Order: sequence, then C-alpha cells, then structure tokens
Amino acid sequence: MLRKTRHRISNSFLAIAALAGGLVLTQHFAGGSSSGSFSTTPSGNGSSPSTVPTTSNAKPDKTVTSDAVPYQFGVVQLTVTRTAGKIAKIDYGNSSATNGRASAFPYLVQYALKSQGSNFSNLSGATYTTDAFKQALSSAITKLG
Amino acid sequence: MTDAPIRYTFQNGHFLYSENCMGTVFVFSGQSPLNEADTQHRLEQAGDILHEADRTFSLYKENSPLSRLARGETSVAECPPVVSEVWDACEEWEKITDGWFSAFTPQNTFDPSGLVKTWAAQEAYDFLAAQGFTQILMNAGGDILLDDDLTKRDDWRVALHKPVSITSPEAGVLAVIDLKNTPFRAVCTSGSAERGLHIWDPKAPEKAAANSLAQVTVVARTLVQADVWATACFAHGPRAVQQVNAYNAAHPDDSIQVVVVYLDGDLNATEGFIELFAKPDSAD
Repeated sequence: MLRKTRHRISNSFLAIAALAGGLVLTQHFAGGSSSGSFSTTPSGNGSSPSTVPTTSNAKPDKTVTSDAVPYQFGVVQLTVTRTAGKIAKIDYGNSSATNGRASAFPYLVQYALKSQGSNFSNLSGATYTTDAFKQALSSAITKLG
Repeated sequence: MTDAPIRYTFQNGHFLYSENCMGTVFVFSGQSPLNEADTQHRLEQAGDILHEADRTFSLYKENSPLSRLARGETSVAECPPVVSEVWDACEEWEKITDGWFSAFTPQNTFDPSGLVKTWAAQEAYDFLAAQGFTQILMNAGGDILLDDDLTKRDDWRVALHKPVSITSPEAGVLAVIDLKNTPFRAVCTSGSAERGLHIWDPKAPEKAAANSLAQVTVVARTLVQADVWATACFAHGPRAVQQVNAYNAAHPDDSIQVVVVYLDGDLNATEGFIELFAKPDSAD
C-alpha cells in the first residue's frame, strides 16, 4: 500500500515558514536591497545574517513570536527576528515537530522540515499569475508592518 | 494597494530584470559584461522572445496561429516553423512520459501550453547566455533554471512552495533543496493551487481533469524536461513516483527527481530525492 510510505505534513505546521516565504518575495521584487541581491536570509541556526544590507531604508529591527499551532505530531511555535531589514533568525525552540512519528520512511518529512530553515535565492511553485504575484508582494509587506 | 515589481536594477554588472508575459512574471538575474544600458537592451530582447512565443502560441489570443489552428482555419504547415518544432517536441515528450504528457486537449485540439512557457523561457535564457551573461538565474513564474557557474551558495538553493496559492494566508516554504554538485539545473512545480484544475489526464475517460495530487515538483536537467514531467506526474497521480523510479533505472543519464504532495498533505518522493534537501545552514 502507498499509505505505508506516505507521511503527513499538516498545513498548520507548514505555515511556519510563511513569514520567510513572504520576505523572499519582498526581497526579490520590491527592490529592498540596493546590492541587487536576489536572496534573503531566513536562517534556522541563529547565526548572523550572511548578507548585510546596504540600504538606508531598511525596516526597523523586530522580533515576533507566532501563535502556538497544534498539528498532528505536536505543537509548533516560532520566534522570528528581523535585523537590519532581513530575517536574521528563526527560532524553532518552542516546537515539538517530530515527536511521536513512526513510519516506514522516516527521513523524508524530517529532511523537508529541517531544510525549511535554509537560506535560498529562488522559489518554485505552481505558475503564479501576475495578479497573485502582486498580491503576495503586498501581503508580505503588510506582514512586516 | 500593491507595489509593482521592479523592472530592472543594475549594479556592478549584476542585473535583476522582470518581464510580464503569458499571464505571469519572468525574473532574470545574473552578471553582465556590458554596461547598464546595453544590458537592459539585451534583457528587453530576451523579453521580446517570450512575447513572440506568446503571440504565436497563446490560445487566449483569438488570432494567434495556435488559436486559428485549433479552430481548423489553418494547418501546421502554414504556421510559423516554430509551431511544427514545438509539435514535434510534444510528440517526443508524449513517448518519453509513456503518454502521461499530452498536448492534445480533451477536445483533441493541439494545446502545447504545458510546454511553451518553459520552451520560450529556455530560448530567452539561451539568448542571454550567448550575450556573455553569466551566473544566470531565471524564475519563470515559479519554474526555475540555474546556470552552471553560480558562485553564491544560496543561488544553488531553491525553495519549494507549499501546495497553496502564494496569496493564501498559509503561503510559505514546503522545503528547500540544494542543487550544487548535482546534475540538476531546473525545478518545475505543477499543482492546482494557483490556477485550479487545469491539467487533464490524457488516459482518463473524456480526459477529465487530473485531481489526485495537490502538487508535484520535478527536479531535472533541463527546464522543459522538468516542466513536462511535472505536468505528466500531476496527470498520472500517486503512481507517478513509481513510474519515475522505473524511468530513472532505465535512463540514468536523463534521470529526474520528483516530490509529490498528496491531497491530504502527505509527501512521497522518488528514490534519491532525499539527497537534494538543503542541509541546515552552517556558517558561510
């Protein structure tokens, strides 16, 4: 049965990276960086931002903690820190992401979850419409306040 | 209120450029050996390649050669030569995917739009490479192509979006993959998150809309290869993973990797996909 090799990532858990995803769009298309950088720095390890923005209009530093979101395998809560206009840190400290999962193919979902904290330069998804693109940009700006 | 995406930036040879075409946004970045004005001119020429393909192949434009072909008002022989080129490519891909990619609609008209966007994007990309541009990254409305000579770690890394619209409150990253030191340069995602059920199942009665997966992401060697397989796997449904595993065993030099998201959020992937996940960040 397929079921035996399939694993669940609930939508609520996947929401943990929503803020990071939004920021990427901002970084790409709002022209937030005068270095012309194509990347942003959502980071899972609490290290300093790898890129120091050179803009004078960077957003103020800010740390926000998400709601505690229950999902199938536990509870997830994130603390996201923005420093010098970029995501400097995503702390998964309050999350119990992998407890209680038993499966025949245990690493697929775990690797996916771990990889979410990695920096990246590009985003692949089902073809965005031009309007969706603009809306997402607006939404990301709104979230950053 | 929305801010328009920036059209063009240039600094120290690094460019970022976006072009609205085919109802989506194409973004190019990279290094140019030319000055700012000449770089912009070349980028606009690359954009023209996209618009020319759209004028030829769009089924939304009433008088495009493809629309006229679909209405039976013209023949492939009378269309621009690129039409038969794309037609041949579609037939070839239909064989390679064992019939799961098909450019023939439920009404049996020719609709290569599953291939044309990335086909044209590759043409535009090749044009820029021929101008001496390097380290080119292209995001064709969510389909990604990477250059061979990238130097920044993060440029090798591509995030896969969750199977929801980027306008959704739940928008965010499903996973991040890292293509450095792999043979893969292209990432394409198919799903119903942005445009609803728009992929038909070529093997279903009446070629009904495919609806058994939420999303498929294919990592491949070329952009068209990734795009075609993403469409084929989405049409095929849950068994696509086994199909691709078998294909990879038989064609190691053309192998691809696939991750699928089921309707209930479960994941499955081809053997080898796990090696593509980005490792948690370490110091640069």
